[in-house]
Amino acid sequence: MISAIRSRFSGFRYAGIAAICALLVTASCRYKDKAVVVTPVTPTSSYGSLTVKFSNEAGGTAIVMGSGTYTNAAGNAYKVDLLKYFVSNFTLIKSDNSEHNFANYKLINAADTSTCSFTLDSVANGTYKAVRFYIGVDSAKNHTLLNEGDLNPSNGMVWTWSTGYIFFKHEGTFINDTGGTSVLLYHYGVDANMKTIDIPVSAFTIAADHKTMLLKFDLNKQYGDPNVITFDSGNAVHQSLETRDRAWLGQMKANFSSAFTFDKVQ
Amino acid sequence: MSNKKLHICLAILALMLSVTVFNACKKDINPDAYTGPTPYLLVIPTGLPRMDIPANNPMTQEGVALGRKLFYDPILSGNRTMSCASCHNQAFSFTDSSNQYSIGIDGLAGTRNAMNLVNLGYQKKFFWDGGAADLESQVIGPIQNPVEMHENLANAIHKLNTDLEYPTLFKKAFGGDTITTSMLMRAIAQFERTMISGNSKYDQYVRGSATLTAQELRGMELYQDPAKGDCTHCHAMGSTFSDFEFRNNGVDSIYADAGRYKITLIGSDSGKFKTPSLRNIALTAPYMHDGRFTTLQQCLDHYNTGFHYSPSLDPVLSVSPKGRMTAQDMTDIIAFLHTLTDTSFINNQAFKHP
Repeated sequence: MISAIRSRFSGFRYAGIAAICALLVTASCRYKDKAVVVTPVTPTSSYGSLTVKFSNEAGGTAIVMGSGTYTNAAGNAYKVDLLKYFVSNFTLIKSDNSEHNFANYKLINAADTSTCSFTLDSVANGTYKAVRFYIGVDSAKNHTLLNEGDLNPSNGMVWTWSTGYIFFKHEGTFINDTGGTSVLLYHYGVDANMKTIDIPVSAFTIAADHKTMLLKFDLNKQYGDPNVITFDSGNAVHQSLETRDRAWLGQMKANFSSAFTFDKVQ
Repeated sequence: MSNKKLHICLAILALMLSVTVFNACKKDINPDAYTGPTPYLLVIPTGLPRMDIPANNPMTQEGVALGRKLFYDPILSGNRTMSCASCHNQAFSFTDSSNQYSIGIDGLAGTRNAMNLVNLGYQKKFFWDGGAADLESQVIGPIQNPVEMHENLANAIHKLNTDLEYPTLFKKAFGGDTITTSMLMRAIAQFERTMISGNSKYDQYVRGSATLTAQELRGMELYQDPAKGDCTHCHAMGSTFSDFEFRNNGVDSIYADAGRYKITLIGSDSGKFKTPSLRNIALTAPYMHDGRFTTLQQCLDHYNTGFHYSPSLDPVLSVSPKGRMTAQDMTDIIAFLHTLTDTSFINNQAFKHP
């Protein structure tokens, strides 16, 4: 074979062969490069997107971490150093009652507004009348800490002695009637305490566009509506996993329903 | 150079040029790119069951080696003074020598005795109360516990990411340029699954390569005899020597430590603790969840006459007659328990400080 080639081509032609080979390979390589370029998908007419934003308030005003002082329904003054909670399985409900669960796990950190919103892509066109989500993490993810993203156990939302996520965490200061201060530490969690939040919203329509929904969470409602939670009498510290936490857990679970409210869609 | 040689040279040159151009076009392939770790072949001694490896943490040589390094590295503690191995010493079957309670980095003592780390891959829940739902999740408990290694988990991960060696080692084991918490959990769990004991005198006897003395054989019978030791009800005979269930073994009638109840909040779980494996039991004193007994004789005395009645006392123990064992029976059982010591386990080079 080689001898046959040798007999037909003079030496300098090899340069030409090399060049052709190179060109061929380069061409094929260009073709490959072109093939992996992701062509922007033309937005289809059947889907839009929705950004969901949570604002965190106490008595109707935005919480100022560390310095803001608030008073709960029991008349207890308090401050907030840390406020985090898990919102999961956000579900949009259409006017025809069909539902779309986005199967997400979002850790809201009130101190960082960049964490207080998430965007749902592929929201089917249509008119929506309600939302549903959960405060907490479902048992599928709550029985192992080998999770990533917002469920990364380094996010400070796990117990050290029992596998599971702290669903809701408020750490701050309780200022008593005489001005004395003590630690306010509320760690809420455990499977049975995952809370379903159903919120009717003023009907809005997605038509291959993007909208933003604003939801509010109010800490004073969380501690006062309908169950008035006092920080007195040793109630300023609850960590969910003891018998003494049971009554508090029940009060907290019920209050979540009123603490989350719909604001507007824009 | 002859014409023939020139032709061959030029042909080779053409080929090389083509190859060069071809390689140049594969610009997305980094020569240092992660090619994947090497699977770790877990060897299970004859007589032990197959170990189920979770699908989300396959064993690899790089992962096991990394887990071993981490197990011994004080970098994971708040002040870089303690590692897992500080309280889990191989010489004592990975328990904390004779210490009833282990002392953490701040000089604070825990409230339970350090557990032996043997055949963990067969167990479903971890800690004395089963608080950790899987081996991976267990890993980060002691790191964060204020009375143990007392480190903020995010800070531990930061220290690893800024270390000179770890980023490369994690990349080899798991890929990726950034160390994540789940990688840390996976690595240590992988190493722990290799810590298999199955070469005690008892194991050799089962395999026909050793003989037990008459006393050891008597002890083995008494261990299983429902009217005598009846140990096997919970510390299942053979293999893992535990059913790993949660039981109240009657050490108290009023519980200083509610045990399993702290996790489940189910009243009937009060005073229940995980049945520990009896492998290497002669090496793991002191005994019971709170390390209250210093000798095996005290343990046998407890099960013979010393246990306390309470509503959640294990049903089997609650109907066991007190004083059912003679002094000789107990001595024989203890002789048998010594056959569960696996010196090849405590001397295994693969488990030592790397």
